[in-house]
Amino acid sequence: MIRIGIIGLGRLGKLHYLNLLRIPHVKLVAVCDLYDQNLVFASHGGVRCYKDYKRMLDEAYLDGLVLSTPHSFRYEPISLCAAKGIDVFVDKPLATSTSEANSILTVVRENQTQLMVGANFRYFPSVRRLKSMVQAGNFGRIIASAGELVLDGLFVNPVYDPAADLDWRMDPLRSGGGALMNLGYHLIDLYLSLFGPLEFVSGRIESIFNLPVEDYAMIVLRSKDGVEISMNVGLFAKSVTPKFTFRISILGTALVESTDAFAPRNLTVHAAKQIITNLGRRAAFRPINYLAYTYYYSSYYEVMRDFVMTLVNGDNVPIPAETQLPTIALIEKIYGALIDAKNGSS
Amino acid sequence: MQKMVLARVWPISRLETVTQVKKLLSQFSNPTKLNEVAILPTIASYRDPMLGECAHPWLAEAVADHFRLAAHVADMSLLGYEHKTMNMRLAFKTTGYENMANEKGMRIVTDEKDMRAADMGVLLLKPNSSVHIPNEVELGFLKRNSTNIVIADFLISPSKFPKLSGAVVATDDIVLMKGLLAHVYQDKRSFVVNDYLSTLQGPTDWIRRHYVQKRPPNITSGPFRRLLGLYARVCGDVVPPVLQGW
Repeated sequence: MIRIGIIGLGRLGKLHYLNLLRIPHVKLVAVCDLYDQNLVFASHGGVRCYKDYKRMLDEAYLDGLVLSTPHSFRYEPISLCAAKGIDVFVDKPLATSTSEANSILTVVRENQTQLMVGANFRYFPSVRRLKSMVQAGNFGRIIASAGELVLDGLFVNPVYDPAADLDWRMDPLRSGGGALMNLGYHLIDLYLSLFGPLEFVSGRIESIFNLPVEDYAMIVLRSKDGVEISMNVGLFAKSVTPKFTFRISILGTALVESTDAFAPRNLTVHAAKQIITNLGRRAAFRPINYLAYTYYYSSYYEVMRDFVMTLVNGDNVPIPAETQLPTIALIEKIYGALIDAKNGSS
Repeated sequence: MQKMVLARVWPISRLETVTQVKKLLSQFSNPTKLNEVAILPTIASYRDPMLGECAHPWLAEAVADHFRLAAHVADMSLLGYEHKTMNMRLAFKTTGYENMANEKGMRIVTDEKDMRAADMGVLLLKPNSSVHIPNEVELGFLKRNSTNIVIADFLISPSKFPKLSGAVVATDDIVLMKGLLAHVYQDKRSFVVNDYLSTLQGPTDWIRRHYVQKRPPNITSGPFRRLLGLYARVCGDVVPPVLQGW
């Protein structure tokens, strides 16, 4: 059994907690969070609760750690884990700047531990299908691509998401940014894996809701092969599960296709089908597809399962932290250029 | 005698909304001199007020303009009751009230001990509230202020997508307003059975056309969450914390 602990029991931390309880070969031994109301979530089932992560790392004898903290709090726990030989799974983004990301990578390399980033969008079946088509050359010469990701983000139903939880996400120093850092990160990560190195051409960031971080970003990128990419990301639209607004369209000389073609057309019908399928599987004593009814959240289960299985098998993690450096560098460059332009124009 | 008046803002714009609401307010007998007007908008989310989850700040702007001109009001305050699920300071910022208050020289008050009785209280109702009975906050506000006007912006109808009707209704009786809201939204829990539409001045068929329709199912609502919980217990599947109320 792999002994795993979690630091950070916010919205994603709680989901990781529930997923880890269902992944084979895992013994979830300890969780750490600053807030009592979050620790209550994990206060049953023999999991030890801590408020001091250093104490948890000293006492829990972990093989792996899941780090689900505010974006700016990454280096300290990862370096401490590396020193103790603990492999780490960290939610994206790896860091809010390239200098911090480089420091993290250095300490991980020195201690020869593994660090995986939870870039879960790579696990969407529609993305995998589109990627396989790109790799097979089905599009001919790819001319352009458009990406869209618009969610509720900071405005999750307040009844379910206490306002205190929102604070760090609205603080540019702790979150590293708004829509571009939160959602643009996913699209840039996917585009880098589809088209290789990208350069920033132009863009615009805006705060529609008068927040300290941007809630809308429109970015134009270009790949080294000349593919023009336009991205629209936003945290402004009302989006209640199972609704999920994400698509990547690719325009090639042989084919024009979008992830929409490979995603469920009606997510409510999809949810109902998956629930019925899982009930049938349970009745037949077969394993169920966890979170399949949500479409979006199932990727979190899969990415966590892959992390655990690499620890069990002693393999290399599927999304090593090194792969995230170009994403962070590009986002840093975009912010730099757009903020300079804004200051210049004002 | 209670009064209820209706106007239609069309096309929907900031200027047209302010103009129409000012016209509605001028139909009430307002004193010529007021020291303070307190405005309480009902705000239920941080989202765009055009979605119908909050009273629109354009109404507050119209109220401020009207009373400044008609009653030479010295002090305008915008009230928000802090409670555990809403950070009102943040909500005022994201819904555009803060910018409007700065523009109109209004005081934002979110701390209950700073709230005081004003000469005039104006309650701005969110349009598609599911329960149309005055809540504690609204009743407290109405009791605190001796003279009151209630405005519902009616901009949104409860369909899958926001549908803008442009109706704006003002009254000096909250029960009358809640009755109308209950009627147009076909709220079965309504305690009002009279046909309040007949109390309105002017043609009202277009309100019915816009409002009488079935609400779309919401997977985060009570019965869906209970069914999901049952499925998760039977199958051992995960319910994402955001759907569990965490």
